[in-house]
Amino acid sequence: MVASRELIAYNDLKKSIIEPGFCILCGACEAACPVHALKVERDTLHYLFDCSKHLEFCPICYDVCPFTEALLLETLSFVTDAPYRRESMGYYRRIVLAQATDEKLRELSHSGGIVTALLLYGIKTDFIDSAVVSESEEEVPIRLRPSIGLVPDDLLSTVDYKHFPSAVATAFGKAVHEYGKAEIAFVGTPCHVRAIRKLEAWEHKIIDSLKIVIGLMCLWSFSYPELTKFLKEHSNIEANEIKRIDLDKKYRILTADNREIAISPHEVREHTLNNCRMCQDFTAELADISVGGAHPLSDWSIVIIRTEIGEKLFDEAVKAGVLRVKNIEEEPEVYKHFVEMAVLKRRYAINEIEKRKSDNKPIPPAFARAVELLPREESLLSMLTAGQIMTRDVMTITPETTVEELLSIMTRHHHMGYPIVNEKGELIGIVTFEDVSKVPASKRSQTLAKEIAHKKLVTVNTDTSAMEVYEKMDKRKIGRILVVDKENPKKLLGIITKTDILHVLRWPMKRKR
Amino acid sequence: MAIIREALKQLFSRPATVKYPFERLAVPEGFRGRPVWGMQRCIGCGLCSRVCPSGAIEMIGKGMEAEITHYVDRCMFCGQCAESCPRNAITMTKEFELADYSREKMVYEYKRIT
Repeated sequence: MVASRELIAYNDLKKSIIEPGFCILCGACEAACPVHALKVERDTLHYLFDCSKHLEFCPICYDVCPFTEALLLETLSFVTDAPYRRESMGYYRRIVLAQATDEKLRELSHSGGIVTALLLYGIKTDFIDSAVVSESEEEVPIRLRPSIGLVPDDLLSTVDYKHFPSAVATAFGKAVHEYGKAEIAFVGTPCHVRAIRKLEAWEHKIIDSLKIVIGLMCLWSFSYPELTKFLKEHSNIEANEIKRIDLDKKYRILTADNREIAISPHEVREHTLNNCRMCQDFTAELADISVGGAHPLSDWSIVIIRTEIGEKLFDEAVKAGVLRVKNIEEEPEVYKHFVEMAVLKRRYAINEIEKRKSDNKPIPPAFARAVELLPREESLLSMLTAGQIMTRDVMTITPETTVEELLSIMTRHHHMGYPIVNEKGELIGIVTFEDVSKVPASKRSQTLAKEIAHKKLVTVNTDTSAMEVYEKMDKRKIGRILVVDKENPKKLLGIITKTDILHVLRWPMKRKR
Repeated sequence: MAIIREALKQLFSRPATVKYPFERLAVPEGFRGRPVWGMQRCIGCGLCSRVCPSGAIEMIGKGMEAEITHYVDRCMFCGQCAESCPRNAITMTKEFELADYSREKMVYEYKRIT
C-alpha cells in the first residue's frame, strides 16, 4: 500500500500496478490523461514523456486504473439502486435467459448473440450512436483489437467473445476525442467495466459521452505470450491456428483445421493474466447489463439487468422482437452451472490473495481492499449489533424438501443458503449451494435436504457486535450466519450474509430491514 | 430611380437599431463569454493556467488547495481553458459586458470553501 500519494500519479501507478505486472492494457489511463502522456501499444503501456513538466498536480491515471483502491466505493453507487443483491451476482433487477431472434447472429456468436443484437438495435434506433467493442486480428484470430462500431456492419465483424486483453478504454477515449461521438455503448469484461465506472466516479469529462455499459461475464483472460507458449509445448498448436476458445466446464480450444483440445480451468490458471487470478468479479457487477453463456444451452445467454438504462434498452429490444426471453427458472441446470463458475472464480481468487499475502508478494491495491477493512469501517461495525443489520424475513425450507425442489427454489430466489426449520419451528440445520451441487443430477429427487444439511450451526445473538459477526464469518470462511434467540437457540430470528455487512459499510444509512 | 424607391421603402419600415442598453439581443448558442471556475470540481492540475494563450489565469498553490485568479482584461475568451480542463470545471458563460475603467477591478478570484 502506498503511504502518501505523490503529486503526479504516474509514479504511483508505475510502482503499484505496472512494475508488479498488474496492467491489463485496458487504456483507461491513456483515455483519461489530460496531456496524452500514456499510450497502450501491443503488449505494454508506454509513458511517452514526463508529464510532470506540464502539470502541477494530477491524480488521474492512478485513480482511474481498475486495479487501484481509489474511488472503489463510488463505482458501486452506479448500480446500488437495484432491489436485489446476492453474493455471486452483485446488485441487479432481473436475471433472465435470452437469445437473439435472428438465427444468423446466434450462429456467428456461438451463443445467444445478445450483445450484438442489443448493439445493432441500439444503433438502428439511435439509442446509441456508436459502440466500443473488440474485434479479432486477421492473422491471429485470438488476438483482440478494440474497435469503434459506427454502423451496423461494423458490429457484425466483432461478434464472439475471446478471452484476451483489449484496449477498449483507449477506444472509448478515441470515440470521444476523434470521432466526436456522444452516446456510446461500451462493451467489456469486468475489469474494463470497472475502469469505465472509475472514470465515471472521477467525473472525467469524456464520460459525458457514455450511454450504456454492457459487461461480458468473464472467468479469466489469458496472457497471450504465456498461453501460446503453453499450447505449443502441450499440444503443438501455433498461435495463428487457434480459431476460437470456448468455455463450458472446460476451456475448449478449436483450431483452424477443426481439432479440439479441452483443458480444465485448473490447468490453465497458470497462463492467465496476473490480476485475473485474484479477481472475484465473474458477472461484471458494475455493468448496466451483464451477458454470459448459458451452458448447457448452446444458443441462449444469461442476462443480468442491473440498472434503469439497462432495463430500458433490453425491454425495448424484446418488445421490438429482436430478442426473445425465457424464464431462468425453467433451466435450473443453467443456473447451477452459472453460480458454480462464479463461486469457483471467487474461491480461487481468495486463495491466491491469501497465498500472496503470506508469501509477501504484491497484490493489486483494489483486491487488497476487498479482503481488508479500513480502521473506520472496523469502528463502524463495532458500533452496530447483529440485530440492527440482520434480515428478518428469512427464506427457510422444511427438512423433507428434496434437493430437486431446493435447486428450483434457488433458481427462483437466488439465495446461496437456506436454513432448515421443522414443523415445530425449530432450527435444525442449513443447506448451501455447495451442498446442492455435490448431489448428482440423478439423485436429486430422492435426496432430502436434511440428509445433506450442516447440523452444527454457527450462530450469533441479536446483541453480538457486527464486527464479531464479520470476524466469525471470515475465520470460518462461511458466507452467512444465523441469528438466534439467546434464550432459545433453536428459534431463528434472522440471517446476516457477508454481502449484508459489505452493504452496511457502504451505505450505513440505508440498512435493509 | 431605384435608389429613390429604396429610400421611400425605408422611410416606412421598422428601424434595425437596437436601443442598447434598454434593449438587448440574446447571445447565440455556444457563445464564449467570461469563463467561470467551479472550485468544487477543480483538482488543481494547472492545465488551464499553462494553456492560456494570454497568461490570464494564475493558479496559487497546487492540488486540492489550489486557488484560481482570472485576469479578465487579458482574457481573449478563446475557451482553451475550458477545453483542456479534464473535469469540465470551467464553463464559458454568456457574460460579455465586462468593460471597466480600471484594470485592477477586472480580476476574478476563485477560492476554496473550508
